Order: sequence, then structure tokens, then C-alpha cells
Amino acid sequence: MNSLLDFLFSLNTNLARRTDIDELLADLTCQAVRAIRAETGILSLYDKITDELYYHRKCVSTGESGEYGMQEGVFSRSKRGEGIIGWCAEHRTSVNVTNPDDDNRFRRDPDREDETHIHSVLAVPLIFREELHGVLVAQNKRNQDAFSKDDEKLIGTLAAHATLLISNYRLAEEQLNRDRLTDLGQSIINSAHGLKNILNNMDGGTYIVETGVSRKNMDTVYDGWDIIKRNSHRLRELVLDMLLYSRPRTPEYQETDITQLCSDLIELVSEKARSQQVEVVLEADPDIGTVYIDPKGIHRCILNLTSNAIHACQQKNGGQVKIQLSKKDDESLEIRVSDNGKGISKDNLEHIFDVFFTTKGSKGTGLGLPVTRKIISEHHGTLEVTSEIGAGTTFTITLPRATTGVVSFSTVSGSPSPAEDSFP
Amino acid sequence: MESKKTILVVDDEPDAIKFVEAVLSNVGDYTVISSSDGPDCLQRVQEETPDLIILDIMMPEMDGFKVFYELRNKASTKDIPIIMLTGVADKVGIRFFKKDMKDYMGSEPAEYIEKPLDPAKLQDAVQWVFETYPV
Repeated sequence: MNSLLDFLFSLNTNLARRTDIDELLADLTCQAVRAIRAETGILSLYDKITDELYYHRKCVSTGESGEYGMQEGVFSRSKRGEGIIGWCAEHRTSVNVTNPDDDNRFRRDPDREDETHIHSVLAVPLIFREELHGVLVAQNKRNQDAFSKDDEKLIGTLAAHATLLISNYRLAEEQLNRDRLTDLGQSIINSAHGLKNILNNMDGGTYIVETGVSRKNMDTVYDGWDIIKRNSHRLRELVLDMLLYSRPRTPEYQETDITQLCSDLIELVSEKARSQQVEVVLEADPDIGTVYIDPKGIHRCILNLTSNAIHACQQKNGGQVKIQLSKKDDESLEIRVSDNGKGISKDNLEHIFDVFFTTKGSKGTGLGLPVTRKIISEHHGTLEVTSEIGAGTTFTITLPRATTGVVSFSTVSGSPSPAEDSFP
Repeated sequence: MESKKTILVVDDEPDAIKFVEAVLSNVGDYTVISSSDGPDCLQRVQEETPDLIILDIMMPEMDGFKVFYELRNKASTKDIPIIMLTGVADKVGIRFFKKDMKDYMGSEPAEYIEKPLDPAKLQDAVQWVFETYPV
């Protein structure tokens, strides 16, 4: 009982933190099944958009000794109303039954293969202010017993905590999205400036093409044509960045060779760096191995930081940009992009993550760093910056390595389809 | 014979400078020089004394308003006519036009043209400046 008390205490102190909600919910499920001596515990989350419940984590007993282990990434979905979990969600009441197969309220999918026979079930809906967030279920009381009234109270208490955790998390997510949209609204004037400049250049390109045609001068036509092409590319980049910034996006995690990703990236920027006499070097910890990240997203982040770093080294002799990869500890990966360029003033440092803030004039969209920070925080990572005028700037990305295989909680409220949210 | 007039185009966008150059090439035979930022513009003005400056407003580090102010407050440059170009006629959150510059800065540019640039407007403005302003 003491461990339950300890857990309740730590749960309460952790309520305010939100990044490790996956772990908290997993712990909570395990504690619930252990406390009421069940064999299995499942926390299903409710997806409002599809009106379905899906497994978030499943906690199973791993032996007689009372040990439990987590199964992750079980994607079984069920409609509201289907089975016991569905029934509990539909009727918004707790269920405590024995031999559920004999109960025709809980019609089960005959094709479903369950290796364990279920003899007793205790299910509690997670409801906060009339809103359904999911269902916490315990299956099979040990020793073939039925779940008691006390078990109902215990799991009810933990379910209440889970509800608070989830609704707190979802409120924070909503607030974050609202803030971002407000930012965007206030920045429409600034974005109009960027768009108008591009439009102006495209008009210019067209005008020059027309001038070339009327003078029958093909060189002039090509000059104009180049301007149109260049600016159509800029427009594409800007619009994609705006979309990327304004929509929440779940990272598409993949095993990634981060060292390879960085050397490919250096290849990509090498021509630009050479033309500005800036050297770009990679220093990678040899035992960094593969990491579980969204390669496109992280590529985008490192590219943004590297381009900024090259720009900061312009007009400097011996300009150097360094990309360093290291294991901070077993849990996290550190990506450091540093330059010995002109540095960022204190005043500007306060604004570098503001949307449409740029000191690069026409060369910046003012979205690179906000987009970078957004992608990093979607990876539950951090982005830090230090800078000194005349000495240079260092950006440090820290990414958790342990996101491996975790079903991201932020997929709950539906995520945009990958196709329409692709990176350029 | 009247000597060729020199026009200085100031914009941080190289493509925008090319646009203005192309328009000017259709107006008359001018010597067109360019500058990509405020400090460089202020220096070029000393060296080349252009007959007209076409000045963009939104530039990094030193914006067009500041450049305008500097030019107007120096005896050697205060009489050079200036045509201002802008993507957003907006300063301190309000729409900002030619007359506002007179009110706030004590002097106004010869013309104030919004981007995207209408080539006809710029042509008219350049012709008007050279007809009106004594050189």
C-alpha cells in the first residue's frame, strides 16, 4: 500500500509537468492494476474526431511475483459502444462484471483473438466536465476472484487522476495552438511584407521578360526568367513554412543515421558556404549510432540553423560553422550548431523566435527559427542559444533518444495527414 | 549637351533593383548605380552625388526612413530628390504616406510609391522629378 501512497504523492507533484505524460499514464495504469491485484490494465484514449477508443498502453502481469510490464504501441481501436470499453464510454458509467462473455451487453468481435480468457472486468470512464477522455480498464482479478467495492473505489481514484492529467495536457495543447494562431494573426502585416516583396520581384521578372521580347534580346529574356524562377521558389518556401508553423504536426519517427543526415546536409550547403568563404565542418561522436527521430523535421531544423550560421559568418575571414553531434547521456542526443560569426545582439536575441522577425532582410522569411523551435518541441526536445557579439553564436538542440516506439500522446486529437504536411 | 543623369537605387533585394533598372532603361538613358543597404547608400551619395535616389523602406539594420532622415539632414545631400518605395506603407502600426513624412520628419519625398511596383507610376514619377526639380 505504501508504494501506492508514494505513487499518488509523486503523481500529484508531477501533475503540472506535461512533457512526460506518456510515462505518467503508463505508471498510473500499472499502479492501478497492481493495487487491485488484476492481471492486465489498459488505458484507452478517446479520439473525438473518429469517435473511437484506442489502446494507449497495456500493462500485463509478467509472473506470479506481482511484477508488471508494459506493452507499447497496441493499436487496437474500437468504436464507442463496442465491447466493455465501448459500453463504458457510451454509458459513461463504471462497469464491474464477472464472466463478461455471458453478458450480451458486451458483444465482442468474434474474430478478435485474445490469448487470455477474461473472467472479470472493472472499467471506469475518464470524464472531466462532461467530456470523455478515455477508459481505464482492469482485467482478471487474481485467484479467479471478482473485483470488490474497494477495488472500484481505488481504480476510481486513479482514474480521476488520469482524467486530470489528460485534460490538463489537452488544455495546455489547446492554449499552445491558440497562442500560435494569435501570433500568426498579429504577424499578417509582416508576412504581407515578405509576400509583397516576392510578388514585386515576380512582376519585375515579367516586366524584364517583356522588355527582352520587345527588344528581341534573349539575354534580357533569360535574366527576367531567372528572377521569376528564383522568386517562385522563395514563395514556395515561405508558404510551406507558414503552413508548417501554423499547424500542429506529429513527428514521423524513424531509425535515422544522424551522422549521415548531417554530412548530406553539409553537401547541400557546401556550394553556398564556399561562395561566402565559410567552412562547414562536422564533428560526430563515433558511437552515436542511429537515433529515433523524424529525419525530415530534424534535417529542416539543422539546415535552418546551419544556413543562419553561414549567413552570420559573411564578410568575415576564416568563418567557420561547426555541427557537433554527441550523446549527452544515454537518454538524450545533443546537436550543436555553432559559428564564429558576428553574433546576435541582446535586443535581437529576445526576438529571434518571434514569427516574421528577421535581420536578414530579403534573405530571411522570419520563420526559420520559429519553425525550428516548433519541430524540436514536437520531439519533446529543447533548443537553446548563446551568443556573443563579434565572437559567434551557438544553438544547442537536445533530443530525447528514448522516444523510441512510444505512441505519441499528441496523436489523440487527430493529426494532419502526412501527405498534405510534407516538408519541401 | 546635357550630361547623363545618375540615379542611385537602394534596395536590399537584388531582384527589386533589377526591376527598377529595367523600368528606368525604358524611360531614358541614365547612369544607374545601386546600393544594397543604408550605410552603403550614405557613403555612395558622398562619392557620386546622384541626381535622384530611389529608396526602399524595409531594409535590415537601417531602414529607409532613417536613411531619408540622414540624407535630409546633411547639407550636401538635402536637395537630392528621393522617390521612396515600400512593400508596406506602415510604420509604428499605422499607414504612413508621403504627407505623414512631412508631419513627422519635417520633409517629404518627391514621391512615395507602393510595392508591388507599377512600372508606369515609377516612369511618371521619374519624368516628373526631372522636369520639376532643378539640377
